[in-house]
This record gives sequence, structure tokens and C-alpha cells, in this order.
Amino acid sequence: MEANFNLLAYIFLLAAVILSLISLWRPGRLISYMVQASLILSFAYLTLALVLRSIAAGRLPFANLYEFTLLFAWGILLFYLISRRVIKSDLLAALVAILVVIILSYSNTLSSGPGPLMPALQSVWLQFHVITAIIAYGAFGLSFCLAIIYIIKEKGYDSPDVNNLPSLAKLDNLLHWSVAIGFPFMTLVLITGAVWAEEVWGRWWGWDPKETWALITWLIYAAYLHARKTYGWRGKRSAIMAIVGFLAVLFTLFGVSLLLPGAHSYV
Amino acid sequence: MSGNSRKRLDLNLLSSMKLGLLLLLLLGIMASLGSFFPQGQPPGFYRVYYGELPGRLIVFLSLDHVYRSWWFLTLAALFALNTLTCSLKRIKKTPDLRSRGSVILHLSILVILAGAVISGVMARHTYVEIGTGKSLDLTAMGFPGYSLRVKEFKVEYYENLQPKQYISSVSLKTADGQEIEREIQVNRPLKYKGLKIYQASYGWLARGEAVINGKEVPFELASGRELDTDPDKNERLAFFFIPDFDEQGDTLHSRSPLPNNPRLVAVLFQDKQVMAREVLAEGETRGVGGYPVTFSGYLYYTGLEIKKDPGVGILYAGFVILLLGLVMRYLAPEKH
Repeated sequence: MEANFNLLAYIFLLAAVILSLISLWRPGRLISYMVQASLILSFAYLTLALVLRSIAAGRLPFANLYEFTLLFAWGILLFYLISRRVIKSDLLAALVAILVVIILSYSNTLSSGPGPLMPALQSVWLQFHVITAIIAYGAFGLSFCLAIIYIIKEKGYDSPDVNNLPSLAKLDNLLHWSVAIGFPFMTLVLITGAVWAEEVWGRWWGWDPKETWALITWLIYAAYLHARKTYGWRGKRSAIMAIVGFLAVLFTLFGVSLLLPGAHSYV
Repeated sequence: MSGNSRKRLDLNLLSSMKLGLLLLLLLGIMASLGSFFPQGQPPGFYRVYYGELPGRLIVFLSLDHVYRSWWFLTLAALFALNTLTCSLKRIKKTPDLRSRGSVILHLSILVILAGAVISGVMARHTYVEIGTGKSLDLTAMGFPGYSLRVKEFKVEYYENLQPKQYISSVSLKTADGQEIEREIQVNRPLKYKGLKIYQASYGWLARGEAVINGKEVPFELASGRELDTDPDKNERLAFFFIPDFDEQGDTLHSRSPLPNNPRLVAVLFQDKQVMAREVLAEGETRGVGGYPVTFSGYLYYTGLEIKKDPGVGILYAGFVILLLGLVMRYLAPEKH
């Protein structure tokens, strides 16, 4: 069952990618509606798959990189759906759908057995650590897509969807809003990780590559927020920082796991 | 320029956001370097791995220990000073709860950094392996007056034989004369007055006796360890403990982690060459290449990490202050 729902989530996501690309080329109300419906269905099926997996495993799906990859995709979709209250754009839908399709495709290459929790993961701090990470990375994923849209709009491409986007200032505010939500949760990811590492390994910080890259991510977004507040760095420069920040997120999750093995072996 | 205004200029620079931003980005770049080069290896490693000249350069630039290098610590110290001076300047201008929250948040980072420094300078760590039923005096390891006895060690398994929990039952004699009985598990360390003991590892010890050149040599060795029989020929007896020996399969293969069919595999090596090999059941004696070996029993040993880190309390205080700052900064009503 879980695999079926996962597959359905993936299919609707692919549909959203194709439909949103068509709608950029030939805009229309019907097709926009279909894009949204596909994304909402995809989110719903992904939620169901995660719930079923939790029931099957008798625990929350917080145990390995495969499960976190699903949660990461789920978080980005969640923040996208929230953002629909302020910005309705098929271009944004297309970017989010493409990003999430890539993440879910990658998850298919990971081992996915719902095994029981190894001793190191049996901690309440794991729960806090993962929940805060879903929120932080979901918000950063949305900010990444908004930053790309900002740059596209600023370049002045003349297309109906780009013209229909909110003003540059409003886009920039929205981008700032999503980073400003992600950042305190990123801080909590680092704190809960430190407390957990102290309880399980007896060292709250060990410069493990995963830890180091989570800190680097935090430093980049800290720089984004401070540059904006003090120097009024808005627009393109801050959009680029938001993009770099999310690249650091991706590297923390996937690059480090592939290239720089360390103590954080399960995720 | 008078000395006074010069000082003010320096303070302005030190507390400036420009410096702050520069430091954030530099710290990020420097920290990433440490994740790409293996840290803390001997200098020879880098010359072999990266080549003579690049290897020398890596060691010269302290890229083999980035996070303890003078330039990384200097940057971090500058960052702390920058945060401190900038926050102090802002303390005077806090009209509402939100801006006060922001200042508290920044000051909490300094508390966290102070915790890190105290951890780095004062923390004491040691790793010990103790067989079940054995005691160890921790005085020599930097924990005077403490001694630890391991009463029992066990592994709990899930149905699929994946480990569920590792548990050491210990009795700790403290420096103030108390005796504490406790179970130590992964994620549940023993804590007593700043001393913490963690479940870190485990393994099997095989017990027995070998007769080497007419001399009886009793042994109690972790699986894989060796006894020298003839150092001139580099001849050694190696012992491998197999908890669930597979009569049909490969000699060193264990069917499960449970001691259902315990065997000792004794191997006589000369350099890397296998000269003789015998599989012994419990209580059995066999000659291994002319050396009689008796396998008399086996037991678990538990690997424990023992530490005292006065920085952690300060660190956690910093975390609490940070949470308070976050709540004020983000959840306090905005003043228009």
C-alpha cells in the first residue's frame, strides 16, 4: 500500500511538472487549476504513504536518509501550499514540482526498508531534531524557488506568467519571510542535534562533516538576514544568497552522505 | 588623529556589521575546508595521500587540524568580539520586546561559545574496555577516587536479530564513598556529579591457556588478538571467537550474534602465512602447530566512554537563553 501511494504521489508530481510547463507556454485557467490539483493530490498521497509507513514500522519515519528524503519533499510541498495564500504562480509551481521530483527520484535510489530503530536513534531528541529539520528545510526549499523566480522576473522576461507575478518588492518580501521562518528552526536543528549527540556519543559537537555543513548552512542564512536588515541588501544579491544557502542544504543532505562519510551514517 | 577618536574608530570597525558579515562568510568557508580534508592524521599521511608538495602545504596551512588552527580560532574570537560589541551597542536602543529578544539571542551565542571554549580546554575523555565481572580503578584515567565494576553486559535484539539495545549493568564507586548501581544504555548514560559514562562498544573475550615452549600462558583476549610464540620468526597464535559456529560453512563465519554454538578458532601465523588452524569447543584442548591450546570459556566485554565536561552546563544555559531570545524575537507582539 505504502509503495502504491508513493508511486501515486510521484505520478501526480510528474503530471504537475508537465502541466505547469505547458501552462507556461499556453496559459489558461483550466490548466492552472490542473497544476494545483496535481500538486495537492501529490502532497496528499505522500502524506498517506508516510502515515502508512509509520503504522507499518510502529514508529515515525525518522530512521534513515530514504525516510528523511520523503519528509524533505513533503516539507517543501507543504510550504508551497501555504505560500499559495499570497502568491499564485504556475512558474513557482513548475519550479517546486521539478525540485521535488528530483528529490523523490533520488529517494528511489536509496534503500527503503522500514527496519526497526537502531539503539543510537532511540531518543526523544531524534524526534525534535527531525521535525525542526523538516520545517527548516521545507521553508528553505520554498525560498530557493522564490529566489529563482525573483531573478527571472528581474531579468524582465516577457511572458504572461512572469508578468502576472507579484512585484519584485513583494517577491523579495516573500523570500525573506520564508528564510525568516526557516532560520529559527535551523537553529533548533543544531541545538537538538547537539543535545542528542551529547546524550548518545558524549560529545555535543565533533566537526563531523554533516554537523559542519549544517553549521555552514546556518552561517549563510545568518549572513542573508543580517545583510538584508543592516544594509538593505534586497533583490538580486539576497536572492543569490538564498540560492547558495539552499545549495548548502542539498550538500548537507546528499553531498555529505555520498562524499564525506562520518559519524552521521544513518542519514 | 587623537588616541581617543582612533580608539573609537577601532571599536566602530570591530562592532560593525561589515566585519560581522565578512566573518560569517569566512568562518563558513574555513569550516568547509575542514570537511574536505581528513582531520587529525599524522603529517606523513597527507604526503602519501596528496603527494609530497600538496601534503606539506596542507600541514603547513594547518588544514590537517582546521578547527584547532590559530587562524580558525582567531576568526572565531573576532566573531565573538564582533557579536559582543555589536550587541552592547544595541542594548541602549531596545524599544520593544522584539528588539530585546534579538539582543538576548545574540548574547546567547557568546554563552554558547564560552561553553565551547571551556569544553575544549577542560573536558576529560577516556575510553575503557572492561570484561563482565571485572573492576577498573579510574584514578589513573583522570577521574581520581572512582572505580567501576561491570556486573553484566547484554545485547537485546529485535526479532530479525538487529540489535535493539546494548546494556551494561555497572556499579560505580564514587570519590565521596558512594556506590551507585545503574544500567547504562545507548542514549541513557550514567550521570553522577558531572561525570558521565556512555555505552560505546562491546565485544567478546575468549579465555584459555596456551603452552608455549613448555610454559603455560593463560590468556583472556578480545577476538582477533594474538600471542607471540616465536618473535624471531614473527610467529604468533591468533584467536577468533565465533559465537554461533557454522559446522558446514566458512570457519570464521557466525550464523548469528548469539552464543548458540561457541567455538574458538586458533590460528598459527608466520608473518602473513597460516601455518596451522584448529577449531575448539569449550573445554577442549588441541595442538595448534605444536602448541597445545585450551579453550576454557568466553565472556562479553563492554566499551565505555567516560567523561567530565564542565562546558556542557554553560552550553545548555546558552541554549536556554537562545530559546528565550527566539521566543521574544519572533512571538512577542510587534510594536507599530
